[in-house]
Amino acid sequence: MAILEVDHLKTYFDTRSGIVRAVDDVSFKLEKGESLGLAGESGCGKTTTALSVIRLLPKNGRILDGHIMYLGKDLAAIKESELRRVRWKQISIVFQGAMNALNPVKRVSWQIAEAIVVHDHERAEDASARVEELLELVGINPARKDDYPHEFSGGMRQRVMIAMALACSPKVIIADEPVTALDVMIQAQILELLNRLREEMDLSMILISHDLSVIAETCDKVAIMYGGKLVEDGPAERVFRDPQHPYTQALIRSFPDIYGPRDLPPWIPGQPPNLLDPAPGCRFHPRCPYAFAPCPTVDPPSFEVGPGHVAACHLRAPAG
Amino acid sequence: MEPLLSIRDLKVWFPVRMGIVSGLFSKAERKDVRAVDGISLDILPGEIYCLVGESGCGKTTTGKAVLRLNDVTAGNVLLGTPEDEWKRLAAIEGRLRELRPTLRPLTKPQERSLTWYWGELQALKDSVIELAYDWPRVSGRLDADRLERAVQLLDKRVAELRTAVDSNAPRPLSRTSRKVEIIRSKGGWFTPRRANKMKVLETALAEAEYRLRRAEVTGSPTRAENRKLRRVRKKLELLRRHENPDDPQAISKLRSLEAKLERERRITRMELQDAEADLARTRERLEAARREEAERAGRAERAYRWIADRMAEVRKIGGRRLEYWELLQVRNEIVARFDLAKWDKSQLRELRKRMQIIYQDPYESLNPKFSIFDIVAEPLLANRIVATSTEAEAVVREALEDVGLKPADEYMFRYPHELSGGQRQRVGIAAALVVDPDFIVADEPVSMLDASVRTEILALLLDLKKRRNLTYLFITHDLGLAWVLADKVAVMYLGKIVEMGDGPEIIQNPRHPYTKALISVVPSPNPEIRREKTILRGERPNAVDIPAGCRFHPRCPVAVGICGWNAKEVQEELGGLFKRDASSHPTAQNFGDIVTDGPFKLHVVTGDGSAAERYLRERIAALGGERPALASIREIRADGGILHVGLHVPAEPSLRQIRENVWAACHLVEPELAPGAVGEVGPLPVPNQSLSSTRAIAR
Repeated sequence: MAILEVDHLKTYFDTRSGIVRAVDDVSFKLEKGESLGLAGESGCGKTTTALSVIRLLPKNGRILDGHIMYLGKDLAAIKESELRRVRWKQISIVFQGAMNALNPVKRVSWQIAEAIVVHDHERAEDASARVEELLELVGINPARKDDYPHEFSGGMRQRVMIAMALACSPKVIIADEPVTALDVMIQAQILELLNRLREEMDLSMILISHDLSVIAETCDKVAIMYGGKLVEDGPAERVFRDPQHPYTQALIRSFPDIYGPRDLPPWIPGQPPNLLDPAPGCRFHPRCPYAFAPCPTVDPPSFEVGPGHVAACHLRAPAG
Repeated sequence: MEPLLSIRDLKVWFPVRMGIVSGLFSKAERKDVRAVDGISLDILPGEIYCLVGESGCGKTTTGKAVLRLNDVTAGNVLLGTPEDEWKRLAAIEGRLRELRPTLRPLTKPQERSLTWYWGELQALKDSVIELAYDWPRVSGRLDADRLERAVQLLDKRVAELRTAVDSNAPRPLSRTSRKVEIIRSKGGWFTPRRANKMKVLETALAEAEYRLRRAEVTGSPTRAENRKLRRVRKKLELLRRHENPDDPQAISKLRSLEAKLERERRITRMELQDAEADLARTRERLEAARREEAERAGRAERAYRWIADRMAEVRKIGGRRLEYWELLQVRNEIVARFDLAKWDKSQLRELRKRMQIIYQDPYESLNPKFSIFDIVAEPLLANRIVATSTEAEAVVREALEDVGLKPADEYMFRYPHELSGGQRQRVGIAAALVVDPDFIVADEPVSMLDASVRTEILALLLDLKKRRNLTYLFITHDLGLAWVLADKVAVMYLGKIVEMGDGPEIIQNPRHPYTKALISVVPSPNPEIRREKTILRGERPNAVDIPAGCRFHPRCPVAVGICGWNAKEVQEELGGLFKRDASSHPTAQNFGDIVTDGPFKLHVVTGDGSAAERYLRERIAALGGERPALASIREIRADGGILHVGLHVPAEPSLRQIRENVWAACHLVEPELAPGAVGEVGPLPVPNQSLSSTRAIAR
């Protein structure tokens, strides 16, 4: 049974120039113990999807429609007070940009303990043992718990962010670009850490990244987003080996691969759509090399293209 | 082919700031962040040279130092060395490399006296040359060449005067003779000035007549021309009225003028005598100067030969040591001429037109208050390539279209926030290329861009390279990019190059353990490729305290004993060993304090020295393979209850040639070429004294 199920989620932002349809009808499932990669270019709605799940949207954002089912509860509908019992204790998030996500004037130990104090109603002194345990878990010498964030390197700050997310032993962890802006070696260390934690603590994970190669190497399932919509979703093996949506195909091809040929990879010409006033039809059609008659007018539904593998493209419509 | 840019032993160190109080009271010596710590590489024209490594390895600092956006602490950056100079330099460096290992150090006094004597001789040689060839400048006398010129001039004057005297003609250029001529032809009223005026009016009349004729032929209005002609004619008439060659008044005037002419002829004769005397005297001086110069040259020749003999003697005594030292001087002289690390401000202005940088982050590097036009025109105005913005417009338009922002007018007056990331980076590229440089430092130009536009920008960079004959120093942390782009790759770790050479070869066949690890962790979008990853533990050490020996050894998965373990590391290792062995080995319980003594020595307090020695030897033999810090123990000597432990004194591995176009700096990587063919690209040691300073010491 799926631990988290997002069903036809629509999250829009009210801005001065109009409504931005950041997440427009997105559905996916996260099974227990599974890791799901959410990929796409910047501005495609990955982070908004994640923030919608635990309802941490900015003031002008609202969930317009859809359900977020977590163990039988609809997180999109329950009261804020009820949600607080889920947030961090059940589902936690590793925020994007570890460099800036920590408070520079508070000690690291305090920042980790804060989550425990707030959510588990423990006294700060009692939380200290748990803080040490968490730092040990993410591979930081607990002796450094009273340091300030600036005394830590980028990789270590990311480890602290992970320790914070684990503070209340959640079941689901959402990692928003956890390795962006980190060096390959540190990136490998963090991904290894996340994988190890997932196995040891039986976590389910949503990994958000713009880097498909990272997702290809760490996730069981992958969901590709484009212009606020989910264009392809399926087991990572299948999606990467045999991508069905033209966007996925182009995106995978655009990554240089040191094990592949020594050619400059092709790119996707054109610009991502403006979500302020998206044109009807498939959002990818202006950049799609295979666009044909129905593309500019009809929004393609998701078609099943394999076991657990769906793609939202008219080309994949079953014959007849 | 000679390289376009050649970096030699480049060092960029940043001092660690110390507070005033702690600076005053602590005895701690000045510390530096050794961001770039001695790298050497050659970039050929038209190449893409990729500098890869983790953040903080010094790649960006190198890129900026090359452009002199950072201060260079030491080393040279040679730009555009001409072919013959480069060949000379290469030959000298080859010989230096040959000599270096063969040198036996001289004793200090020997070296001092030798270099002093050598310096003296050099100085003597220089002064002999100066005296022989710059004598006139030194003495203030005229040299033979100048005297010869004087003789020629005097000769000409004598000849002129003599013709005048012989033909009884008036003095050359005499005004009196002209006056006579005018009065004879035109009459007594005319002075040279009036005659001149008449001549001018005659020319004007001819011109006016011509204009009128032309106007009549072409049918244009003739009124103005007619008027002009009339005016000129009238003026000329007025003058002509005075023309009267038989003027009786003229006769008396002429008589006095003739007398004046006669006086002048007398003066001319006297002048001729003077000039002849001058000529004879100058000729004599010329002879004397020639004799003196020949004599001086002979003396200089003898002195020079004497000095050369002494130098040969010194050279014999100094042998290779001196040859090495001397070649270094020559090398440094050549290097100094092309070394942009020593250029001043005005030279750097010129440099900006030859070398430019593309910055990493197009969201940060473009001034949000500047329009696209302002951003691209700024380098043109700052480098005074154009004087005004209006002039810049055409150039900017072309630059923008060149980077694919077409039509340029649509983008020119927009602001950076109105453009997408890819378009902004195009603006950054246009701003770098607008001054038409031939060398570009591209500092992670696509790392902030989305994957789908990343290759678009790379394709643009490649296209521009082809069209404009550019050379790139491409700084990137992304080995995938290096794989598709690089002709050459240099992998940096903690301020040093650990491996460099042919791009594809290094990425497919890494030899240095660090490169191997780095490449193994690069993720691949292809799910079929799943391979063993070598994830290095920990993070890179601080560039203030760089580990001894190989700077990578603390994290190296294959490090051995000689890689650079110091007493502190071994102390920790031994402590751990004794703790682990406490239950299984009875001897291990008897160890007391472990004390470090200098960087590569330890003392261990123990009960029974010889038993402890036996135990330790045995454990090292058993565990040395997996615990390289233990393997670094070179000698163990028991002295009663104290065990003296000595370690291998580590040497930093130098960058050695492994095969054609591959260099690596690792003790464990052996050359794959025949031993003779192997060169070293190591930094050549900088002499601690230059020639001039030796001379200064000598005085």
